[in-house]
Amino acid sequence: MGRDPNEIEPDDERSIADNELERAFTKGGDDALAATYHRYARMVLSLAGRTVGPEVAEEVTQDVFVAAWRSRENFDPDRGSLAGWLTGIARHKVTDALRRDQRADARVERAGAQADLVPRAPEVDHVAERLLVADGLARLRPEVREVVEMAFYSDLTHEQIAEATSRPLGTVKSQIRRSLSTLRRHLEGLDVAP
Amino acid sequence: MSPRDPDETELAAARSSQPQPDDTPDIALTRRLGAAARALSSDDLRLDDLPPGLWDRIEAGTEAGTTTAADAGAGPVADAAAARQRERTGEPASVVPIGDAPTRRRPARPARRRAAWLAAAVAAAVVVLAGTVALITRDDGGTTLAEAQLEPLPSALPGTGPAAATVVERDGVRELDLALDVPATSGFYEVWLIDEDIVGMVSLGPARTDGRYEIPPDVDVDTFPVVDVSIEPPDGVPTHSGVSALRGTLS
Repeated sequence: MGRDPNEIEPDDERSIADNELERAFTKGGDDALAATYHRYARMVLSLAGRTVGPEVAEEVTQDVFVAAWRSRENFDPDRGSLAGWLTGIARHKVTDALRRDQRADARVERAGAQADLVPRAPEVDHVAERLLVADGLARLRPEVREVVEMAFYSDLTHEQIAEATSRPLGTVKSQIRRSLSTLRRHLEGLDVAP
Repeated sequence: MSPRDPDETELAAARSSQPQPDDTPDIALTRRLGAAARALSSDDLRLDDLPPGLWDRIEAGTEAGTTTAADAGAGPVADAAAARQRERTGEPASVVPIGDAPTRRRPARPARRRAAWLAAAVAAAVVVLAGTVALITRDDGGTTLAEAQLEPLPSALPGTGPAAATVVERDGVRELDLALDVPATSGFYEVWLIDEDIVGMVSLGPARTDGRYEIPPDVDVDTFPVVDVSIEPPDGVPTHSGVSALRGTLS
């Protein structure tokens, strides 16, 4: 028995689209990689571009999607989101690329030239988490997003948020609880990625 | 003091990255979420555009999209899942649930669809005019089999109006008559019939100016009663973008 689509909450609907994609990806149907690329490639490209730089970003993105597809049996929706998992793979590829860079820099340094050795690796995790949270927030319905933003950026209590938005306390609580849970899945995926 | 309400603990964690000894794994993740959310800059919201050719190289690297059933990961698990899906929905084998194995592709459509999409991308700006005509000018007889009222969804572009859809049979051919009232998009609109679980779906093609969409003979509108209009980027990716402008259920 299906639910009446008219009764599906719009934020459910967006997560349904993402859940569908995760299911298709694990099944490995031939459209699944294209759909996954369609949905997440810009995030992967942006992570790479903002860490290793635009000139290597494209190559990293290519490596990420090829590697993700080859190891798709390892993706487990119960252990995190596909967005997080792909971003996690990207994080490892980026870290590898940075190490190669640093080795090259170190060789230059030994040769007596000035090298600007910046420890950029820790920053990769932060960029990855920011991009995932930004994408996660963007997927929320505006009225849910408003409440979640108050959870992150204000010091209002649940009661005060309910009052400020003229919504029942129970609604506010469940919107925050569900949204945080959805967002956490992204970080879980990030943490378990190979 | 009584133990804290878990919702309050969670809310506090979303606002402080300072770890506490009794943090559960979820609370630790919530602290990281909050830290990331507070560190967001406008840059994080502006993603880089995809360079042309990247997808082609990935596709070549994986041979996805051109593979045969044997190597597309359509192993026993996928087959079994697909079989369960068919059993559940009673759908014909020629209809493709998202990401299903290539043996059940829409017959003989991909090439034609790609070409149609290019045309649709170019024509996207005139889609606005698509509306109003189709339903009013039904002077060609035909039998109405089902009707749906489509309402704009939150992901619709501003200015999207509701629409009426009608399944009409004319000379043994079923068509979906759908007059769209939608603003231009940088991509194009595409019309779909979807099952009630929003899992299996059949594309009826890009939005047409005549507002008529032929329904393939094998497709049972009782199995796919949801009429959905999606916003598709003109990127050649043949699946539903996940962004719907309008939706309604036939009855």
